[in-house]
Amino acid sequence: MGQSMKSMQELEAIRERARKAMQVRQNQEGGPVISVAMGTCGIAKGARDVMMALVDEAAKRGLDSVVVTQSGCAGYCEHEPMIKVQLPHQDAVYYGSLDERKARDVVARHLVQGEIANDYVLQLPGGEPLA
Amino acid sequence: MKELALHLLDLVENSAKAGASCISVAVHEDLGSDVLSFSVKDDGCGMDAEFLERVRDPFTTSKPKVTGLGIPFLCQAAEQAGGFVDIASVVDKGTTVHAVWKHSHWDRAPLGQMAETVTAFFAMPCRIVFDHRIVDQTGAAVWQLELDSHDFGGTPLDAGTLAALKEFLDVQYQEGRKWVNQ
Repeated sequence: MGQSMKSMQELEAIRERARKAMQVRQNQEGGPVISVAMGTCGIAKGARDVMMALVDEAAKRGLDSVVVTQSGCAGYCEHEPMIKVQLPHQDAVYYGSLDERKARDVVARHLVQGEIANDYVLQLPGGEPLA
Repeated sequence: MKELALHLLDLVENSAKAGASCISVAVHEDLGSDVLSFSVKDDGCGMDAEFLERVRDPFTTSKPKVTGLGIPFLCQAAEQAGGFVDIASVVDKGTTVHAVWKHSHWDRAPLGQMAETVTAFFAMPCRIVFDHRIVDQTGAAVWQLELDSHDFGGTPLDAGTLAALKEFLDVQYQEGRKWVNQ
C-alpha cells in the first residue's frame, strides 16, 4: 500500500510550488541564502532544530524565497550550532552558539530589518568576529 | 545523538561532503522479521581500503582539524541494539552504508523526528532519493513514503517550500508511526 490519494495530491502541490520557485530563482540573480553547518558536531548540538526554526520563521514572515541550505563542519565545533547568512551584494555573516529562539531572532533582525544581530555573531578566540 | 533520525542526517551529510551528486536513502522497518535498517548510497568520492579499515575508529576523520566521530557513534548505536553497520566503498565510485537494528531491542534508540530529518535532506545541494517503508507482522507493506528531489525541480529548496514539506511530512509520519509500537 502506498500513499493515499489525498496525500499524493498534497505532495504534488508542494512539488509544483517548488518547481515554480526554482524557475523564479533561475531567472533572477541570487536572493538571500542561509546555510546551516551540519557536521556531526552541529547535528549533535541541535543544528537540525535551528534549521527548522529558520525555515518556519522565514515562511511565517513571508520570506518564502530565502534559500535554506547546509554545509559541513567549519572547524569551530565549540560554537555550534552555526549558520552563515549571505545577503546579495553583502559580506557573509557567521552566527554561532544558536538555539531555536536565537535563530528566529536572526531572521527577524538580519533578514527582515537588515541589521546584523551583533550579539550572536561568531567570535573567534582572538576576539574578532568571523564575518 | 539521542535519535536515529540524527544519525541518518549525519550519514547523508557525509555523502554530501564526499561530493555526491545523488544520494539514495532507504529506511525499512520490517516488523515481521523485527528489523530496522538504514541504507545510504552515494556517488561521491568513496574511500580507499586503508581508510575504510580505520573508519570505525573514533580517532579517524577525513577532515583536517575537526573531529569526525559520526561513524563510530552510529556503530555504537547499532551494536548496543543487536545490530551492525556495513560499509562498502569504491574510490571515485561512491559509498554505501547499511545500518541494521533489531527493531524491538530494548536498547534501540527511537527513530525520532524523521519529518525534520527528511526536510533537512531537501536543503542538501544534491539530488536526494528517499524511501521509507513499514512492513507489518504479516509481511504486508502498510505505509510508504517516496520522495525524489528531482520532482521538486532540484535542491536546495526555498524556505516556503521547505515549510510546506515539513508540514506534509509531520502528518505523514504521524500516520506512519501508528503502525509501529514506539
